[in-house]
Order: sequence, then structure tokens, then C-alpha cells
Amino acid sequence: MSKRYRSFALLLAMVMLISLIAACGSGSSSDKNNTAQTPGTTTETTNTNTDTAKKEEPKQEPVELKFWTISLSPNFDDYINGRIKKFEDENPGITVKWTDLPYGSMENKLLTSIAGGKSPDVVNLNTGMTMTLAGKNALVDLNKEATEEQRSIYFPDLYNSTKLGESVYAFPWYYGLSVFAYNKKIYEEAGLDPNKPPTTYEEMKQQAIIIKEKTGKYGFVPTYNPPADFYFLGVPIISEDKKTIIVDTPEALEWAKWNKDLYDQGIVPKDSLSADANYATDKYQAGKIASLTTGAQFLSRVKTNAKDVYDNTLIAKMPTLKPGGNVQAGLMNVVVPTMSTHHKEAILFANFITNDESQLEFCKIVNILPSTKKAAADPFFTQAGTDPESQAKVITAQMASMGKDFSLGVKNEGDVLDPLWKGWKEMLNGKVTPEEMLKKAQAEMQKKLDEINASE
Amino acid sequence: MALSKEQARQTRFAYAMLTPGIILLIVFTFIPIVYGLPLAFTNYSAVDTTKWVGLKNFDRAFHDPDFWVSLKNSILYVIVVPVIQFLSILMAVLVNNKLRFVNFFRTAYFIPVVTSMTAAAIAWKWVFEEDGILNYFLEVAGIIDGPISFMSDMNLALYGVMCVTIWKGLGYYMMIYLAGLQSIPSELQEAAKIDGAGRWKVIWHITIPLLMPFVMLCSLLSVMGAIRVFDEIFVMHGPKGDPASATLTTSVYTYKISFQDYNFGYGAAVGLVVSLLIMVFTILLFRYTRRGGMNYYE
Repeated sequence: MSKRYRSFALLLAMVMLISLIAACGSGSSSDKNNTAQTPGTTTETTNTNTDTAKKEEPKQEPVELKFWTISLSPNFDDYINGRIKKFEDENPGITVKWTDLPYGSMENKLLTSIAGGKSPDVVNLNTGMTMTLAGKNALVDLNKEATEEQRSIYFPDLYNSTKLGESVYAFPWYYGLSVFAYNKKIYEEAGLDPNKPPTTYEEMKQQAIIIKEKTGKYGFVPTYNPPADFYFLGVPIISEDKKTIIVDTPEALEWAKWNKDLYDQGIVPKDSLSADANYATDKYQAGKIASLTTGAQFLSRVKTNAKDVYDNTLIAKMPTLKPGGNVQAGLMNVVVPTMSTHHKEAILFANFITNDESQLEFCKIVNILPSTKKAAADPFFTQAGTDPESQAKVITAQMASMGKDFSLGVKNEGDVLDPLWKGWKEMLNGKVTPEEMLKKAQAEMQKKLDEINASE
Repeated sequence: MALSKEQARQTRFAYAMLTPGIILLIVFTFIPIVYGLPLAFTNYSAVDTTKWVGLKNFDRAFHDPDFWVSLKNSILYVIVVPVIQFLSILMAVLVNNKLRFVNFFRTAYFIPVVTSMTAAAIAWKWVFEEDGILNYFLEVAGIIDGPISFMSDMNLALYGVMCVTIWKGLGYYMMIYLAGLQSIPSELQEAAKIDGAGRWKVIWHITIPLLMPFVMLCSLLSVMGAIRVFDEIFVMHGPKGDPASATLTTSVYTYKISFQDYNFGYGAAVGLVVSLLIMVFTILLFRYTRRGGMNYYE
């Protein structure tokens, strides 16, 4: 074999090796996940689970808590580090190691860490993720392990968002309420009075019809969330004893028909059905849609991406589904995984980072609302500037007492709600009528619920 | 037969070259497969205690409407195979000509292959949107009156994704076919031409039969790819295969039950069923496409 050939082959092999390694590294979860092969790698590590968990460190030794958050770095580095330092000063012997993860990777990363026996101690999760993990017995029951004093600082409605049976699995942290942001220019083009934003969904619909007619643009993008919408409309969804599903009610039917009509008439974009979280914001900042219902904290995105649209943006309260009804609060929680080896210290820190002082300080640097009673009562929430962001703050604070995070309070909630989500989309696609959809969803949801109740 | 010193050295060298690839395959493919098998018989969830559940997961799959929907979609997806093969053979024949700028065309056709699927899928999503470029062209051409929602219509969504798969795969198969075309001895084609065969006759009776081993390889690869399709659906329609499971394929469903619901045991069972399905397809393909290549004339 010639020398040249050999060195070429060697080079080629090296390149392939490197590209393979690189491919594995970047190994988009999709690569690894698209066959049933992957979970094997996690099994391997589970075997070591129990061993590490048992190695409880003696109490007097210094404790290091691993604290994971969702998308807070680098914007809030100073705030989080400042709070950690204060906590460490107050509690000598405990150190906190903070890791921030992007929203999308939190769930998988947490899962693999728990499976690998290297669980973090304090973790920031939304209500959905909390409920899924709680259903798998992966989280500490705070009604059992936290003190009454620690539990009493939160709004009871928010604290009970993660209730499953008699257990509660998270301390509520911050939340954002949506506001109704709308483009003054488009409203004027349509001949609507920009000072009269809609207060109910019906008004919003009527305005959308006019906007569509006059400008050809859409009035709004519906954010379909049938379970939460039903819940806030007064549809029970589940009975008190968590045994019966009730979604086939007149209120639900009315809402379904209302939405179907809107969709069929082309008053809202057909793509709203498949829209992801960014869709409405993208279209709003492109000036293609007259209004945007968004968390006040996300308005800064419009500001960065489309200054002209932002300058024409006015803010109003979210139109309500029914007068005086509750509104959805997308809550962020703090949990302690069962696999943590320092439950007591972890709960102490989880409580600290969500206490009145910590939350008030946090709310002052970003447009969010606190979940604790004292912090929410602070005068800060009534002082307003004139820019859209600061108006949004005051408006959401006024709505704070209406905030509630919807959850069914049963294990595998997602499985139970799935038929409703699916039925809703089938209905909008014209595959089933609203009546059929509700009937079918109720039956299928009941079946899933029965399965879950039977497996306990 | 004893190897000469030089041959032995070459063999050693060959093995040395193979080692890195084999190690990676063992660690990232074979070991996980072996671990995945028993998982299908447990309720493994990564966080909760694991119990042996026997065939319960398989039983659940057969009674799970979502599983059947995903299976139907995956099998339906195989219709991309003939389309992709036909188009890529056509493209290969085209770029096999001595055209001007032929290298430019070859490169251009190959670009989708090296483009990241995530980026491509997002771009295609824009193409398919209501105010996307496709609707724009259709409206300008007067083919449609109002925009069609290729993303939200349950009857169209899966076909939209198929377009992405076809677009992305064409260049790859074209390259394989091009290599195939260039391996066909030109004497055969010239002889046929002298005997009075027309252009299409040459392609049909000489080129295609001789290309059969390549067709077979490419079909096999693309059938497997089609059944396992994941990335484009995940990016365009999310882990639930929206709208309302219209784009839910078995791989996406496996991902959903494993990594969203944490039912790794059940996920492994579904994955196993799909692997068996792919195996059946492969065997069928092997059986019916064995003829071809030089032995076509034997």
C-alpha cells in the first residue's frame, strides 16, 4: 500500500471519527429518540440509583444544594446570585450551586439526572411538568415535609395548583398573566376606536370581523386551550371525588360552537390550530395581526424585534370568557425531587427563594407577579409609567386576584386531557360536530380516568 | 491460505481503521438495543420503581387507538419511496450527461442533504403557512381562491411533511444512482444504440435493469427512513403529531410516550413492534428485488 494512500485513509478515518463524535454530541434529542433503543442507556444508570441515594451525608458536614432554574440566565444572574449569597450568609454550612437550563431541555435533563442518581435538590418547573413528575412519585410532598410556617406565605389558590390527593408538590413562584396588547394603527385603519379595546370575547370577535373586512388582517389569534377555557367558563371537567368526567355541558357546547364559527368563517387564521408559542408574537410584530394576548414579560420581545409596532402598541386587560371570571396564570413552581439527599435544606432554600422578600425584589426587575400574599400587597404594583410595559404591569397586578393555574389534580393529567385536545382540533377541521366532539371526548376521557384510578 | 506479510499488514491496518466506528456503534447503538429489549416488558419510567409487567405493554399497544393511528401514518408514509426513487433516478440520469455546469447542478441538488433538518423543516413551515410562499404562488396563479392551511388541515398535513422528506432525500439518492450509472459499462448502451434502440429503450432495458441493485439499496434505505421518520414531523408538528394526530408516526409516538409521558417501558414495546415491522418490509423487499444487475441477463 502506498504511503500516500495510507495517510489519506488515516485522515479519512480520523475525519469520520470526529464527525461521528460531533454528531453524537450535538445529537439532537431526535436522533437518539426515534427508536426504542435509547431508554437502554438510562437503564444502565438506574441500577446505580439506589446506591447513591442511600449515601446520606452526615448532617454536620457542609451541604451543597444543586439549584436548577428555567431560562433565567444571563438576564437575572445578578438577582439570583444575590439571593443565593444572602441565603448562604444566613445559613452557614449550606452552599448553593445554581444551574440555568433552557425551557425545552429542563424536563429531559432532570429526568436523566434523577435516573442517573445525580438529582438536583431544588428545581424550578412549570405546573405541567410538576404534575407529571409528581404522578411518578419523583417529588417531595410539601404538605408532609414542609412546615406550616413555610406553606402559609402563598396564596392558597396558587399553592394548591400542584395538589394531587392530599399532597402538594411545589412552592408556587412567580407567574405572568396575559394582557391584551393591540396595534393602534390597525385599529384606526379599520375605523375602530383605539380607546375601546374589547372587554369580552364576544366583543373581540365583533372587532375581529370588522378588522378582517376593512384591512384584510386578522383581529387576533386564538390560543386554544380547551381544558383551561372550559374550566374558567365554569365547566366542572372533573367531579369533586375525581372519579367522573363532566365536559359535555351547555357552556362547553356554546364555547365550542363559538370557536368553530370563528374558524369556519375565516375570522381567525386557520394556522392558529397548529400554531406554536411563537406564532402569534411573530405575526403581531410583523404587523399582520391586530392584537396579541401575551404575558407582560414577553412584550420586550416585540420591543426588540419591531420597534415601530411596539410604539403603536396599547395595553388593556385580557377580555374575559365570562364577566368576573378567573384567568389563567402560567405559574412557575419550585420543587424538591425525592432523590435529593438533603430534603430539609432543600425545602428551606426553596421556601427562601420564593419568600416575600425574594419575590418582591424579582418583580421589581421583571414584569411578573408574586405568588405570596405580602409581596403582592406592595405599593410597587400600583405605580405606573406610560410605556406599554409598565402599563402592563399595573394591569396584570389588578388582575392578580383572578389568577388561577388550571390542573385536574389527578395522576397522568395529560393522558386524561388528550382526547379533549384532539377532539377540539378534529372539530375545527370539520371531522366532527361540536356535539359529537364533546360526547366523544367525555367518553374517552372517562375511560382514561377509570384506567388511572384502577391502577392505583 | 496463508497470508503474505504484506497482506497480513493490510488486514491489520483495515481492522485498525474499522475499530473507531465499531466502538461507537457498539456504545451508541448495539448496547442500547440490547438494553431496550427487556425494557419493553417493564413499566420503567426512569424515576419511579421498575416492575416486570410481562406482555402488558404489547397488549396495551394493540388496544391503543393512537398506536394504530401512528402505524397507519407510518405505513402511509412509505408512499414517499417510489416518488423519491423515481425522481432521483431521473435527476441522476440528467446530471450524468456531459452538460455545461454539471458540477454546479450536482452540488445544488445535494445541498438539501447537508442542510440541517431542523432548519429545513422550519423553512418549509414558512412555505406552507397561510401567508406563506406556496399559498402566494397558488393564489397568483389563480389555482385557489383563498389560502389553504397546509399545516392545520388534517388531510394535508402529512403530505406536507412528505414533501420535506422528498426534497431532503433526493440529492442523497441521486448521488448513489449517479455512482451506479457510472459503473454501467458504456459498451452495453452503445451496443444497444447501434442495434437501433431509442433513448427510452436504452434507459428502460439497459440502464434500469443494471441499476437494480442500486434501486434495491436505495428503496431499502428509504423505506426504513420513511417508517422511522421523526425530525421533520417533530419540528413542524410537535411531539404529538398535530393536528389531532394527523402526523403522528410511530417514531413520534414512541418519543411522546417515552419522553413526554415517561413511559419508557411502553415506548420500548412500541419501538420493538416497529422494528419488527421494518424487518418484515426489508425481507419482502429483498425477496422481490433480488433480480437485477448483471445477472439480469443470465
